[in-house]
Amino acid sequence: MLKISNLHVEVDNKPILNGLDLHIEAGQVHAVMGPNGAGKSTLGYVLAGRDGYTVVDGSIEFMGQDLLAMSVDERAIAGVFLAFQYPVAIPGVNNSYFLRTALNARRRARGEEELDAMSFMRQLREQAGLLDMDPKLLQRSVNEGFSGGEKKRNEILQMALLQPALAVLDETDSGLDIDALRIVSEGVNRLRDDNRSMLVITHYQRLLDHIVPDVVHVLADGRIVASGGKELALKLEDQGYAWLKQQGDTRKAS
Amino acid sequence: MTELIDKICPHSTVSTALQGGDARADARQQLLRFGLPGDRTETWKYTSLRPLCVADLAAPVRLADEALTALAEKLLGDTPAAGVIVLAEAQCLLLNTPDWVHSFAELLAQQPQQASALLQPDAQVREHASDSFIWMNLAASDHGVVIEVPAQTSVPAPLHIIHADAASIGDDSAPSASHRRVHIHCGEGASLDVIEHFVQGGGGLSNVYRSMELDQQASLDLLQLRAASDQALMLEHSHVLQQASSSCRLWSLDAGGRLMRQEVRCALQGAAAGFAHHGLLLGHGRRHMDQHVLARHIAADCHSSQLFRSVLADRSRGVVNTAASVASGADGSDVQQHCASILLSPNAEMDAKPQLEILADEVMASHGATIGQLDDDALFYLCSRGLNEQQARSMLLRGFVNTVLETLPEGLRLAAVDQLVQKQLESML
Ligand SMILES: Nc1ncnc2c1ncn2[C@@H]1O[C@H](COP(=O)(O)OP(=O)(O)OP(=O)(O)O)[C@@H](O)[C@H]1O
Ligand SMILES: [Mg+2]
Repeated sequence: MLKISNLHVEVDNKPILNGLDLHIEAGQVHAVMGPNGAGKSTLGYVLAGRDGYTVVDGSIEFMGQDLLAMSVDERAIAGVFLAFQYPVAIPGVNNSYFLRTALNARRRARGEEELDAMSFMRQLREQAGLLDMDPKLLQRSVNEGFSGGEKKRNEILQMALLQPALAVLDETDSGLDIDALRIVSEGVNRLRDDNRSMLVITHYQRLLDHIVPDVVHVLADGRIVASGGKELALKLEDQGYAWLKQQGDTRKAS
Repeated sequence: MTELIDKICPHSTVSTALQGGDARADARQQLLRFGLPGDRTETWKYTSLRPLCVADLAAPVRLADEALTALAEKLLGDTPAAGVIVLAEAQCLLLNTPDWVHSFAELLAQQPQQASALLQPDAQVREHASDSFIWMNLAASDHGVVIEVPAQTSVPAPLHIIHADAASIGDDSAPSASHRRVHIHCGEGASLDVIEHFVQGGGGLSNVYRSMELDQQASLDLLQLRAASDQALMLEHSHVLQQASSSCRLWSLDAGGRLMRQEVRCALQGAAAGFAHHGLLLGHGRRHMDQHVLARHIAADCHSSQLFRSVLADRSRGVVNTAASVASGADGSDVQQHCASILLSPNAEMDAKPQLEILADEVMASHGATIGQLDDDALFYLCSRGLNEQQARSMLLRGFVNTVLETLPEGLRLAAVDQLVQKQLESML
């Protein structure tokens, strides 16, 4: 599904990712943890194709294609979805109109028929209901004046509608209350299947009780410094990141 | 200077053909005394008359009534209408209008006594070059419309006013300068919606002087759809006088013309009256648009709202001057001014100036102006959901202008509004 090799990324001539390798098979869920400023969101942005993130070395292969050669919208149409750490407000643009435009852009690009307003609204209400989302949020401007948690639910709603092949969830759990965490996690789990992969960025082991990952990685200083099973997250929760740093230093010394 | 005045307002029309006698001559004299506004006229600082100076202007021609009627039918189709008024270069055509709608020229001819009041400057006209186009209008307006809504009359559908010229009906007569008068009086408790369609197709000048009077509890909603050709020159003054608990709301959707300037002055003279002027300035090419608005809070507990959104491409230029003055004693006033602009080109230019003068107590006031570009974060967000660059830009601009469009009441949300805005935005991306 996704194969990142030796990825080096700079922002404003400042190196952020320094030789990152990551390999996700179809159907797998990988969690990425790591200290603030490690480069986790940067990884998400580079996958989505944001301007200003210069890839100076390395490659990203997505479903057999060269992801880095594709524009932002081409990647979305091909099935990449980033749930933003900080979703952007779009004043004056009705949320359900936006969602329908996005869904239809994708359907059109894939040669599928566009959804009419009626069947779209049915689908939208159903998905919003599953996420226990206030229907009023669908008629407001995109993310404008939404609470932190409402914005995160809106991201998952978009994911549920767009049915991406690869979903990158950047701290989707931050700002969610306990019930919302469960509801949103269930939403994510509903999408899990053999053909879909997920990259879940989080600071908290707690989320991984709900969304159980196949692999847990630690991203620090722009690289994957440790990978393991679910127990790695428990160890991080318990001990923090310091031990990894020491390990790294020993490795460097030897 | 007098040469230019003579070009746009030939002496002959004033002295002989027009009804109105002394009032005409007085206005003409004022005009000559003040001259035309120039770069030293404060309120005209950003707006140059150059497009007018270089324009070739011939005498206005009378157009065929049938062609103007056909134009109205084509434009409005089955849009609900309480009547249609076509104001062309030198004539006013009334189509199915109620009996309280009069042609200004006919009124002058048939009831000179009553009509002569309309040739006097209203109390808000200044003896200054800034208002020369009003003086010119008083001196030379040979056509227009006078609307007198009787008290307690609630007009069920909008009145439509179409501003046309020879080119709008495919007539190839040379562009002209035309001076027209629009007077609207809403009696006590009356309510009226008016939609003005500007569809001039040529490079002539239309100089419009609107006076609007609202008695107690009257309400007037006026929507201006400026869809004239890229050559059209439009200079307009709109004066509003409001009595207690009246409501006047004005929407300007400026998406046409080479030069457009409107100066709006509203006197909130009775308590608890409300005034709003909301506008979009959409520019491409070398279009120049200028909205100068002043809300004067004279009585207590009045509210005024001035809300503008501009999107400027190419070498277009926008000027939005939102001003409010709150007189001493006008306590409990509520004043809102906001203007935001997006520049799509490094050669586009915006001058936005909010002004507030408050001499009363307990006044709520907010004002602000922002100028920027399309938000990169928002563009990325939309593209990351599968919208291409063009769709994303268009959606952001639509959202930006929606802030103004959303304030339109149901009855004024014509399909034509959407079409005008969409077509203009598409031409700019
Ligand atoms: N536009 C920019 N200019 C300069 N530095 C930047 C820019 N964007 C990101 N960075 C830097 O890149 C580093 C990685 O940022 P990133 O947002 O990827 O971290 P993160 O791992 O997601 O952190 P957090 O856990 O706090 O969300 C940080 O040091 C950040 O300051
Ligand atoms: Mg982050």
